[in-house]
Amino acid sequence: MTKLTWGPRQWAMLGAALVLGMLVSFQWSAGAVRRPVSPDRVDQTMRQLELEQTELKRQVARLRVALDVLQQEAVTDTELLEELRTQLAVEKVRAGLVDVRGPGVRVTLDDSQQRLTGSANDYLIHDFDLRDVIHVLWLAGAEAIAINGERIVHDSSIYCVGSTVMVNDTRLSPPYEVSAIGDAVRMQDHLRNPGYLGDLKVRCERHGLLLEIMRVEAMTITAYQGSTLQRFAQPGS
Amino acid sequence: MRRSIVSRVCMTVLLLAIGVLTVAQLRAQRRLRVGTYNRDEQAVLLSELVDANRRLRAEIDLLAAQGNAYAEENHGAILEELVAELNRVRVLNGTIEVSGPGVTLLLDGPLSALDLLDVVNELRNAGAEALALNGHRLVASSAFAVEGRGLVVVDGYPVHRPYHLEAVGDPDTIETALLRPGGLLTLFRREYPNLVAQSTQHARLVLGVHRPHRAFEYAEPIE
Repeated sequence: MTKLTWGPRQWAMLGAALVLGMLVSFQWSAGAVRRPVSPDRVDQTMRQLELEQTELKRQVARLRVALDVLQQEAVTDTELLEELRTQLAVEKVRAGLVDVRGPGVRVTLDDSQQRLTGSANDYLIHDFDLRDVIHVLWLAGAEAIAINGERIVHDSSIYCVGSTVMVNDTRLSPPYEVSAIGDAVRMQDHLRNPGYLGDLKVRCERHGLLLEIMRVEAMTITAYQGSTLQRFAQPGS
Repeated sequence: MRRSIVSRVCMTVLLLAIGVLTVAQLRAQRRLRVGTYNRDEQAVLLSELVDANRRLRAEIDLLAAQGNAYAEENHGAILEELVAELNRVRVLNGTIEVSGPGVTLLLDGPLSALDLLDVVNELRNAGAEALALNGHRLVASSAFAVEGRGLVVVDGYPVHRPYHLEAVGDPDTIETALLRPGGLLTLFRREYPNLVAQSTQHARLVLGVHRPHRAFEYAEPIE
């Protein structure tokens, strides 16, 4: 039997155990705080609507794939029908209605981890930051772009409600991953060019926002899952 | 000897646990901002979601109806359906002319390429279904560059002031969004004191085909 002596090692262990205990209790309570504390009916409605939205988008995606199959298998024994079908397939790819794969870049943007000194806005990624990044990618010849899985199409809108970013009417949380298929070198050069994204890059340096650019050899960008129905625009003149 | 190994192992485990939990704690703090809204923001979010879901249901109805046309295996119905959908998608892509009610916006001032980009974004947010600038059809990938002495270039085409925007969509909704106090035009007028800005509603606008047409070189559909 040896006597327990209280030396520096024991103090270090005690200190570490105390810190561990604190962190465990923070984690525990953080789990509860992450969800709004009050059983607010508005929050419940919002969650309900978002669950519906997710399910509706899945249905749209399933129906589009099923329709694709029907179109592929339809009896098109005339040249005209066959030609129409081919053209439609090409236009659908262009419109973002189909999953695509190819080389490209992945741009990750995230809020700052730093402590606030000054305006909270400086420490967040905003809708206009995402719009600016996307714009540079289009300038660099991108062929397909998505943010956190939301495909950017002809009338995609990116806006903020409060400090929350909405893309295709869907709430997105940071970190934001912008995927783009195209000429990876050209896109990377554009993004790195000091003439573009100046405001964002300054805020990254000053306030610790994250902006990371990575080339990807093969990436998949999924189809747009939103609505395409146009109420006013008609084809032709 | 054994005692010192045991205490080293304990220390390592403790420090590891501290490390893991510290990272988890920092991560948790990052995401907290998503859950907090004030009443106005909640109202906006709710109405956006209700609207979005309504549009998704309409889309589902359309897709179901289209499926039915193919199921019947009737040549006439299939032909009609293929032509209708091809035209619909071509409108989205700008590869066919488009017509409909909408709004024209005339802007005469030293607007930058980014200003024009903001206008286009504002129009899209207001529900514009098809757009054109100085006669050039704009599509999702239309990008604004600056060349030489402040010359704005869109899809490779130079555009000069005055800037003439055409937006097909609900005329009232679009014009209201443009003219709202504190909106984009308010900001522009403040920035450019001599700005001329004129919006007009139209019962019928006709927008041409988007150029140039470039086939995809990198993105391939997944079979």
